Amino acid sequence: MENSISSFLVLNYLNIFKNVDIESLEVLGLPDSELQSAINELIKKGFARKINDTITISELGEREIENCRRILLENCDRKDEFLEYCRMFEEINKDFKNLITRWQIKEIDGELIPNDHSDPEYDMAILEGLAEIHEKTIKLLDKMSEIFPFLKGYISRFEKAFSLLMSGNLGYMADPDKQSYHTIWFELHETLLKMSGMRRIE
Amino acid sequence: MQDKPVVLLFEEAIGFSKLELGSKGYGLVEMVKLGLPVPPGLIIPTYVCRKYYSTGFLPAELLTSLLEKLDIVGEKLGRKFGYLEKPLLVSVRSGAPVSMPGMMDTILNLGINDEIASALASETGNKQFAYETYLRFIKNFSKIVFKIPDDELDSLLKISLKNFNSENFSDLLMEDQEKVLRDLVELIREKAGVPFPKDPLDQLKMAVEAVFKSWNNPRAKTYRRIYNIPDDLGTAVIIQAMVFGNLKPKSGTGVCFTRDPSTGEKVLYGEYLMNAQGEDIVSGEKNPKPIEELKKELPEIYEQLKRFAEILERHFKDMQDIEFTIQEGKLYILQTRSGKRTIKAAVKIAVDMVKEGLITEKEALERVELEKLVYLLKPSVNTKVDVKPLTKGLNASPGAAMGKVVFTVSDAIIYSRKGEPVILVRPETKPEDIQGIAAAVGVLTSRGGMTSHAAVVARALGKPAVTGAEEIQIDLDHELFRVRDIVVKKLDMITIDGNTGNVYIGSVPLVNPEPIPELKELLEWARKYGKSVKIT
Repeated sequence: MENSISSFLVLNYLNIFKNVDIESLEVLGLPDSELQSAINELIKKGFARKINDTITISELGEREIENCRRILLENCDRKDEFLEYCRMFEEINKDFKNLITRWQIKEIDGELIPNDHSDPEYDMAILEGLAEIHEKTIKLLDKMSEIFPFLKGYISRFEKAFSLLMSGNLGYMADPDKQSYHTIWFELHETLLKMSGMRRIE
Repeated sequence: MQDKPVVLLFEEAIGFSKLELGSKGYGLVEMVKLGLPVPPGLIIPTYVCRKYYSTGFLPAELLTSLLEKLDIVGEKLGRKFGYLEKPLLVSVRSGAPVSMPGMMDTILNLGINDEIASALASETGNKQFAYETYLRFIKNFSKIVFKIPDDELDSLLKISLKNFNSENFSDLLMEDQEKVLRDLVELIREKAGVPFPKDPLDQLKMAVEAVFKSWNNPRAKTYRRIYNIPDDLGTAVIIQAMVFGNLKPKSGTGVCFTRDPSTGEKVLYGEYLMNAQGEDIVSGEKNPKPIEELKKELPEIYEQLKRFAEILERHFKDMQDIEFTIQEGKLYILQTRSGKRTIKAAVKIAVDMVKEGLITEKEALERVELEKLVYLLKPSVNTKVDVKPLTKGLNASPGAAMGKVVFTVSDAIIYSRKGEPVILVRPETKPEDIQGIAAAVGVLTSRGGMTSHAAVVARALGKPAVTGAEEIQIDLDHELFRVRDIVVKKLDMITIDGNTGNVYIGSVPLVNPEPIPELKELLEWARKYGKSVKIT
C-alpha cells in the first residue's frame, strides 16, 4: 500500500466491518474518484476482494492494516500522548454507553421497560447528556487527529449524526442500520482499540 | 392583535383556541364550560407572549387589565388581590400549546408579604398555615424567578433558623417565624442581587415575565428544535385563585387517573394527602394514601370526584390525569390532561372506549403506538416448567429466543437465510457482528454488561439478548462453548431469556405474555383499516 490516506481509511473500514457494500463506503467522505482508486489499489494488491457490490477484506489485507497501524504508532513522536487520549476516550465511552442504555430502556419499579419516548423531561436529560459527551468527544478527536489526520473524518460524521438527531431524527441515536451516533461510536471505538492495542472493556 | 384582549377570564376564554390559550389553559376553560368546580382565574394568551418577544416589553395595558380582572376573580371568592382584608393569593403557571422541558413551573401562593401573612393568620386563626404558606412562596418564587436551587434555599433557611436555636420552622413561635422569614428574604436579596418583591403586583409582574422568558430558555429552544415545534407559538400564562389543601380541617390535595394507567382497568386510580399542597405529592417527602381511602375518609368528596372524572373522560374522550384540591370540605379540580399509560393499558383503554361508544375503531388505532405492540407479544420462558438453566447472564434485551448456536456472522447469515433460527454466541461483539445480530433471533455474550455495544444493538433491533454470561467459555477455533463440564457445539439448540438472563440447553417451553383480550380486537381493526403491525 502506498500509504495513501484514502487506501488506509478504506482498509481500516473493511478491517472493522469485514465485508461491506460499496455504497456504505461513502460514509468515509472521500471524493468518488479517490474512493474508486483506493478500492482498485486494494483489490490490485490482493488486500480486498470484490464480489458483485460487496467488498471483503482478505487475509493479506488484515495483515497489511495491522502492519500499517503498528508502523504508524511506532513512528509517531506523540505516541504516549495519543495513548493517553485513547484512555480518555475509554472514560467517555463508559458514560456514552450508560446514556444510550437509558435512552433505550427505563427502569420503573425495578423493572426494565423499553423507553417509549413519551416523557420529554426524561429524553431531554439524555439528549443534554449527549450534547456534553459530543462536545468532549469532538475536542478529543480534534487533538487525536492532529496526531493521526485519518481520524478527522469521524468529527464530521459525528457532527452530522448529532445534528440529525437534534433536529428530531431520533433513530440517529442508536439505530444500527443508520449512520447513528452509536454506529459511528462503535466503529471509532474499534479503530482506537486496534490502533492502541488496548483491550475492549465491556 | 389590537382587538384581542391581553387578559381573559376563564369564562371569557370560551371559544378561543388551544393555540391561543395553551393546553393547560384550554383544559381549564373546557372544565369551566362543563360547570366543574375550577378555582376562578385568568389567562394571558400566547399572542401576548409573541408581542413581548417582538417588543421586549410587557404590553402597557397588561397590568391594568390584570388588576381589573383579578378584582373579578377575587369577587367570586369574596377576596381581593394585594389587600390585607381577605387577601387573594394566586398561582402563576406557564401554559404552552405543547408541553416542553425548561418551561417555567408553577409559582404558588403569590400575592403574600409580611403584612398579608399576618392578616391571613388572623383571618384563618391558623398561624402555622399562614406562615408556612408565606415560606413556601418565598422559596418557590426564589427558585423559579431568581433561579436559586432548592438546596441553597434550604441552607439559607437553616442560617435564618440558627439565630432562634431551631432546626424546624414549624416549631417556632409566630413572632419568631416572622423574623426568620424577614432574615430569609434578606439573605435571598444578597444572593439574588435584587430585592425580593414585597408588593404583590411586582411579584405578579416578575412571575409573568419569568413565564415569558422561560419560552426562550436554551432547554425549551433545544426541545422545540428536536421535536419540530414552531418557535413562534409562544406560551400562555395562567393566573388562578389559590385554594388551600393545607388549610385544616377537611383539606387535602391529590392526583388521580380516570383509569388504571398500568392495566387500563376502569377504576379511579391515584393518591392524595390530607393537609398538604400539590407540591408535597410530587416531592415525595410525605407518603400519600391510595385514592380508595378517600372513600372512607371523605365519602362525599370521593363520589363527587368519581362523577367529575366520568364527565371529564366523556368530554375529552380519553383517559384523564386529574389534579384536585379539597379546601375545608369543598372539592376543586385544578387541572386535567390526557394521562400517560403503559402500552398494555393503551390497548385496553382504546378498545374499551370503542365499546363504550366514546371513540371510533380508527381513533382507537391512533391511540395505540402500534409499533410498540411488539413488546407486548414477546414470549418468555415458562417458569412453571421445571427446567434448570445452564447458566445465567445479564438480562440485556427483553424477550426469549430459541435457536441453533452459531459463532460467526457468516453462519448466522447462512442459516437464517435457510429459515433456521440461530443464536449468535460471541465473547463480546464488534462492529463486524452487527449483521450477524440482525440475522440471528437472539444474542448471547460471555463478556459485557447491560450497556455493552451488543446490548445496545440488540435492543435497537428488538432482539432478545443475554450478555456477560461469565461461566461460558467460548472456543471459537472449535466452534463450541463450555459451561463447567457441559459442552455446547455449533448448531446445538439453546434458549435464552432476555427477561431473566437465563440460558438453557435445548428448546424450553415458552409462554406468550399474559393475553390481553382487547389486543385481538385491536389487531383485527388494524387489518380492517390496512395498518401494518410488526408483531415478531
